[in-house]
Amino acid sequence: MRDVSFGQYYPAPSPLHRLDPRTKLLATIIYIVTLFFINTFTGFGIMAVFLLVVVLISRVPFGKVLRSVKAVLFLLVFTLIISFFFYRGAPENLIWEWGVIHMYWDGLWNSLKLCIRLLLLVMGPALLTLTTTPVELTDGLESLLKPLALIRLPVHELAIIMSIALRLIPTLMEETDKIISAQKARCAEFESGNIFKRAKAMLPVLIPLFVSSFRRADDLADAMDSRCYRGAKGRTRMKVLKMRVGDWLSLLFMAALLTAMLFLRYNYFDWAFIALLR
Amino acid sequence: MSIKIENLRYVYSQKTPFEKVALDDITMEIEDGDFFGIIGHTGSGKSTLVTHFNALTRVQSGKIFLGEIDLTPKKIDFKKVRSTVGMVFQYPEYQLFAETVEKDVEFGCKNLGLSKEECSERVRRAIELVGLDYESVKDRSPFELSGGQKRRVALAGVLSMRPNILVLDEPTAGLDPRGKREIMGLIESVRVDCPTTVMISHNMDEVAGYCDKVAVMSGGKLYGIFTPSELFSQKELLEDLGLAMPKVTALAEKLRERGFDIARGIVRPEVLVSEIERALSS
Repeated sequence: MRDVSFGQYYPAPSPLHRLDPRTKLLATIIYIVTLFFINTFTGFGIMAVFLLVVVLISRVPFGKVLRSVKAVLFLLVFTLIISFFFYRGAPENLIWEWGVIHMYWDGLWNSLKLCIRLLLLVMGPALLTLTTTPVELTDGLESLLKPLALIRLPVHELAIIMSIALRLIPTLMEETDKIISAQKARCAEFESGNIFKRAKAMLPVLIPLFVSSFRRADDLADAMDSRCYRGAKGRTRMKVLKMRVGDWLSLLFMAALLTAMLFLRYNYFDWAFIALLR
Repeated sequence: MSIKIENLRYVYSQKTPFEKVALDDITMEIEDGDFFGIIGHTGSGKSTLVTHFNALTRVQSGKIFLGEIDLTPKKIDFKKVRSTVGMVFQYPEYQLFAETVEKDVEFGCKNLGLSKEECSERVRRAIELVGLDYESVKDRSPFELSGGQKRRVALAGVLSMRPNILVLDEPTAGLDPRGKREIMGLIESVRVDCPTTVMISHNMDEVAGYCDKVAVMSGGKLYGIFTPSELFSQKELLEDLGLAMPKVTALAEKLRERGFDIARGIVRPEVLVSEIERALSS
């Protein structure tokens, strides 16, 4: 279990890693919205090139980004097959027909687009978590959600709960690791037997884990109390998030990308070259 | 039973940016009947080394022999290995889980598939061996015992498997001086049943007072194996390694500086006492 690196953060000295987490969150949102407006191969091509360039900038190995696709591979193939076989297109586009299964040329293009969209949708946010630590993400979210405090949403409390939870995941994993080792040293077996046997075998791990979690929570509460933690009010930060030029430029670029894609789709001014691109 | 280690090397998180060499070409032998100490700073690879002994950490490269058993192949008799090498981790009381002390101590025994009579006999013996009263403690919850008692119960849980080699990772961490003395005394007395003991410790007094041999680890490498008096008589070496001197040795050193004729490398209090007596009478 020690070999599992927590989350998927991949440390690398890249400009993308250094961006403000808020920029990256917003950019990811814009990226996702943009993808939903695209319906041409040209548009998807541009987005794919954009993603490729961003991955290159981030210095994250391409395999790591592709790994995120593995989780949705089944969904992808399933979507492709279903939308291809059950699409009803114009009769002149028919390729082949057998009972309820139809194959149309436009059906093929459509399902391909759907798949490309899905692929791009998964890989973009994956890059966000690959280049941003969970703590940065939480900080960014807290800062972005701050306006919601006006409607009495306890943004700070939620953020601190999240960051404590995130902070404790590796600790708990280490603890689990230790307890599993200790029980294994007493010849406990976790890998054999049927599902009930295995569930029962987990008890000697879960009980000590719960006990130590409660102990840890108590200790943490005491430690926070003794350092006068009183919630959000009047609290300042050691690491203040700061938008730099690069952040604004990135956001500007994302906005431009979104606008360009909108134009590509709706061609507001009936420009001829856009009609050609489509 | 002896443990033979040849060219052992272990790397964590291989082929990732988090790659870390934990053990680097370790070769040593722990002989039957040794009280073997392992010292070194946090992260020097001590724990990784000892978890190889009962196949919790599997051999990546190199070889380990547990008596006649080769621990290198993928498939080995884990039950045999783990009941032969009883391992007590740091803060073993955190592994307690059962409703009663008896059930907890029984856990290892039961996993070995022993008969009920055999088990309860072993449990009784193990609980008595760690200095607790079997009748009064067996039906109590392990969670309501004191810290020192919990640790004893956890120790009994390992002893109930009747290991030939006992491996202890900082057995006295977090105990008060009296608790420390009691646990160390206990480990000493357990050696009647289980003569070979391996102990990781940061406490030089314990290393000096109990171990026959001490392996010094540093940055994943084996620095060397010494007897306590060899190791602690080399002041410069200790300073290089950032290790403290046992109190007894430090006192002997101070006395010699004051002009007393006292031998080097004294690690046990009774030896120091007789040395002082000798020095005063001459």
